[in-house]
Amino acid sequence: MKKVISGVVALLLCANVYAQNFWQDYPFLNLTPEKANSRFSFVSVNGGLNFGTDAVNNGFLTHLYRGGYMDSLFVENAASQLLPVNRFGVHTEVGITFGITLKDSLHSILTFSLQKRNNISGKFSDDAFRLGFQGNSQYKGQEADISGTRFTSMSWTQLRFCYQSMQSPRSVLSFGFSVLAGNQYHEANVNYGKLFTDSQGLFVDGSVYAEYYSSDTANRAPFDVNGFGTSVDITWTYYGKTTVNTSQTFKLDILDFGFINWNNKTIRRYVDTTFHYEGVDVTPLFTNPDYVVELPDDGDFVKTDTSEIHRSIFLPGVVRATYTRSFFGRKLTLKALAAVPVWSYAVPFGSITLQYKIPRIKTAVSSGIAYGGYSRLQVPFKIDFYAVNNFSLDAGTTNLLVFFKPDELAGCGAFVKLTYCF
Amino acid sequence: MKWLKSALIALLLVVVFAVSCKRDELSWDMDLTVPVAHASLSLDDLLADSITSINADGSVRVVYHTAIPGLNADSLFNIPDTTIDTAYHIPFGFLTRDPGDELLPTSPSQITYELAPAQLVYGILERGKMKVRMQNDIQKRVLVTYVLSSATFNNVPATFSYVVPAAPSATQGSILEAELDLANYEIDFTGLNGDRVNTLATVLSAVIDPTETGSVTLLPPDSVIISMTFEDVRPSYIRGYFGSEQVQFGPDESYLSFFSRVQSGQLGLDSVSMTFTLENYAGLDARFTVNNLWSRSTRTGQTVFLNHAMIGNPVNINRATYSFSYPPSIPQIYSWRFDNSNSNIVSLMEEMPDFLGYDFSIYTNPLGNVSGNNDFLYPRFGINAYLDVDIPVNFFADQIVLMDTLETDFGTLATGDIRKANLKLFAGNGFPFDAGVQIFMLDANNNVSSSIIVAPGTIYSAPLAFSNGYYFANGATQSIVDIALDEAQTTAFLNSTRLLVQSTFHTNTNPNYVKIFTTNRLDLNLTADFEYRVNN
Repeated sequence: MKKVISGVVALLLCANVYAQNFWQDYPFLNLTPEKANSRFSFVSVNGGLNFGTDAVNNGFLTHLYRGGYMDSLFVENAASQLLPVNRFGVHTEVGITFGITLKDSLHSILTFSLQKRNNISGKFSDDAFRLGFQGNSQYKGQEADISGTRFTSMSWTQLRFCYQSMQSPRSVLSFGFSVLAGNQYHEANVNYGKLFTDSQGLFVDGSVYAEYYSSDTANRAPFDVNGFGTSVDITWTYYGKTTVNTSQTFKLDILDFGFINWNNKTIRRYVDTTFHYEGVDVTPLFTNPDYVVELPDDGDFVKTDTSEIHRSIFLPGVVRATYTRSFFGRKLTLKALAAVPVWSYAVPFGSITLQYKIPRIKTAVSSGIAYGGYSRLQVPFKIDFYAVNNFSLDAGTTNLLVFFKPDELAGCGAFVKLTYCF
Repeated sequence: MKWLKSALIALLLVVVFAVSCKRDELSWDMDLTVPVAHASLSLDDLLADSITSINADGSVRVVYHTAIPGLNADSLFNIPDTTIDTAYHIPFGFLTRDPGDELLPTSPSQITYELAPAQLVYGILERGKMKVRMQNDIQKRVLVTYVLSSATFNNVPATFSYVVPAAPSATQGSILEAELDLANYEIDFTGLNGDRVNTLATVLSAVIDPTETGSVTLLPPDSVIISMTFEDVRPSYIRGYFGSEQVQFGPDESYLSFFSRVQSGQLGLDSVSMTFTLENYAGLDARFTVNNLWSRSTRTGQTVFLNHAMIGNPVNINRATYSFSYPPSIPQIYSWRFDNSNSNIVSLMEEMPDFLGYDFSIYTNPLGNVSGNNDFLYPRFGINAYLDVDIPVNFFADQIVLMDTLETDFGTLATGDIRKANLKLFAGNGFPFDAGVQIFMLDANNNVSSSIIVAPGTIYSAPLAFSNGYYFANGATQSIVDIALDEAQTTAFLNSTRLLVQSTFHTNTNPNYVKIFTTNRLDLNLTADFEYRVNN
C-alpha cells in the first residue's frame, strides 16, 4: 500500500537544554523493518530552537531573554551556582526534506533536504561571568581569570543528500553528504586573560591575549555566502530479536562531521597586551591650571592588529550510541543513550529513560535522568498523545525539576511537536 | 474541521512569536573599582608661579620675582605724532603755467618738532611712518618731489616723488596719499646747518608734469597742498638732552598671584627678604625716590606700608655709559634689601597680599644739561625696576584656606549610567602640615549648590621632628579621605561644569615654624568604586 506522508508540521517551542539535540533521529528517517516493507515518499518541514547551559539558572536565562533590570541579589544568586568552567549553546534550524523509495525497492530511501542552521556556543569561567555582570570590585586584592573563554557563532545553509539502505533484515545503513554555504561567522577566544585589582583600588594590572574572527563584514545579510564546506552523516542501526512482547535496537551515529572554509575576507583581530593602570597623572595640573587632562583610551592599553585570512572551522559534531529495549508487550521501553560531542564546547552526554505506553488513552509517558551536553543533571519528562486520527502531539521538558525551582537549578528546556499526516 | 484546526495552529504560532519578540532592554548593575588619578607633588608643584631654591641643608626657599610695570623708556621720552602742512596758493590775479614750470620753489627748509624740554640731536628709528597727503586743484598733473634730507638710510635721504593727477574740474581737486616707512632711518635733528635741535631739513618741489601738453591758467583759489604726518615714531636710540623734569610712576599696584587663592587663615613666617633693584641703562642722571611700597590684601582689606629708611628719601642715580657691545650700555645698578632687621617686610608678606603697591618718582638731569646734549637712551633698555621676594619656607600656618575653581567636563563619560560613587583619596603626606580638601559644586550663577566631601577630609601631617628650632617632616603619614556620593550627588557631580575646591593647611606648630625640604612630597591617589548600570 502506497503510503504518502505529505506534510509534517513540527514545533519546538520554549527551550531545550541541548544546543545539539542528542536525542533526535534526524537527519535520517527511522527506517524500521516494518516500514521497509512499504513503499512511500514524504515531505517534511522542520524547525527548532534548542538552548542549553550548565552555567546559570533558568530564572537568569529567562531574564536574559525577556530583558529588563536584574538587581544585584538576583545576579549574585545566579553567580553563586557557577562552575569553574561554564558552557552554553544555542542551536536553531529550519528546513524542508523530501524523501522517496528508489526503483521500486522497499529497502532504500533517498532524501534531499535544505536546512538553515545556526549554532552559537561557548564556554567561560565564573570569573568572566562575575566581571561581566558584577564588575571588578569583588576582586580587590585578587586576580580574575578569564582565560579559556570561548565564543563561536556560525550560521550556514545546508543542502543534504541522504541514502538509507537496509543491508539485512536486521541492519540499516544510512549515509548523508552535505554541501554547506557558510553565511555568518564570529569567534572570540580569550586564550589568556587576567585582571588584578589592587586591594585598595590603586591600580589594576591586566594581561590579555585574545583573538576575534569575523566573516566578511561587508556581507552581513543572513543568506550572504562567505564560505563553503561539506559534511557527512553516517548511521548504522541494528534491530535485535523481536517478539510480540519484546524488541531491542542498537544504533550508532556519526553526525555533522564536516567543516566550512570561510573565505579570505575573514577578519582576524588579536589583542596581545599587558598593562598597568593607576589612573591619570594629574601632577601637571598643579603647576599649570590650563593643563588638559587626557582620559586614556583603548589605544593606550590594547595593542591590536587586524588582518584578512582564510579560516576553516569544523562543525560541532557528535558520535552517539543508543540502545533501546521494550518489555511487557512493548508497553515499557528502556532507552539508554551516550553521546560524545566533537569540535564542540559541550561535554559528553548520557541519559536513561523509561517510556510507558497507555493504549487505553492512546498516550505514552517518558521520564528518566540525563547528564551532560551543555547542562548538568536533568530529569526529562515527555508525553506522546495520538488520540486523534492523523494527529500526534509530543510535549515534554528536558528538566522537569527546574519548573519548580527555576532560580536554583541550571539548565531547562521544553518542547512541543505536532504532527499532521494525510 | 481541517481548516479550523489549521487556523488554530496558525493563530497559536502568531501569538507565540509575537509574545516572544516583545522584550525590554536588559540592564544590570556592576560594581567597578577604578583608579582615577594620581599625582606626586613637591613644593614646586604646590606653589604656582613661583620658583623654589634649595639651601645648603636641603631646605627650600621660595623666590618670587616681579618687574615693576610702568617704569619704562616711554615714560621718560617719546616722539609724538606730528603733522606738517606745506601749501602753494595763487596769491592774486592769475598765472599761466606750462608743462615743467615750477609751482613751489625748490629750496631747502627746516621743520622743528615740538619736543621741548627735550633737545634731540640724533636718533635711529626702530619704526615710524611718514604719511603724505597731496591735494591738487590744478587741472594739470603735478609732479611732487619731497626730500627729507635729515633722514637717511645708508646715507641716502628719504625721498619720494609722485605725480598727482589733474583736478577733474575747476571746483574739485584730486588727492593722492602715499606712505614712507622710516624704520631704520638715521635722523639728524640739527637742521640745515647743524646748529639746531629737534629740527628736520627738507626739500619740497612741485612742477607741472613735463609730459603734460598745453599751458594752464591758475586762478585763486587754485592751490597745491601737501600734508606730512610723522606717525608712530619710536627710536631705537636717541641722543640729546632729555630735559630736567619730574616723572611720576604710580601710585599703582602689581598683582601678586602667589597668595591669590588664600581665603582665610593666618600665616607666620620666620623671615623674609625683599630686594628692590633699579637698573639704569639710560645715559642720563636722575634722582630716584621711592615714595611708598606696600602690600594690600583684598581678602582682609588691610594695607601694610613698608617701613624702611629708603622710603621718601631721594637717591641719586648715575648715568649709564656706552658699552659698544650688547647690551649697548653699561647700566648703573642699585639695589636695596628689606629684611627682618631693617624693615617690616615680614608683616607685608604675612598679610598674604594679592597686590604689591608702589609709588616712585624720577627727577631727570637734576643738575641740568651737564652732558652738552649727549644724554642717550636705548628705549628697549631704559630704566628697569624689580622686586625679588625671598621666603625661606619656614613657617606656621593656622587654618589657611585656599580656594580655586575648576572647569569640568565629564561629557565623554556615560555619566547617566553611574548610579553612585564612593571616591577615596589615598594620600601619603611627607609635608609637615595637615591638608584638608573640600569640593563644592557650583550652579549656573556660581552659587554653591552642595559639597561632595564631608568635613574635615583631612590629609594628616607627616610625623614631626624638632631640630635647631624648627619642626620638620620625618617620614610620611598615610591618610584616606572618603568621598561618598549618593545617587543624587553623583548625578549632580558628573553634570557639573564648575567645581570650587577648598584646601586648608594647618601646621599644628604655632608659634614654632616648620621647615620644608626638597625631599618632602605629597603622593595622591584617587580611586573610585562606581555602581554602574549597564544599558541604563
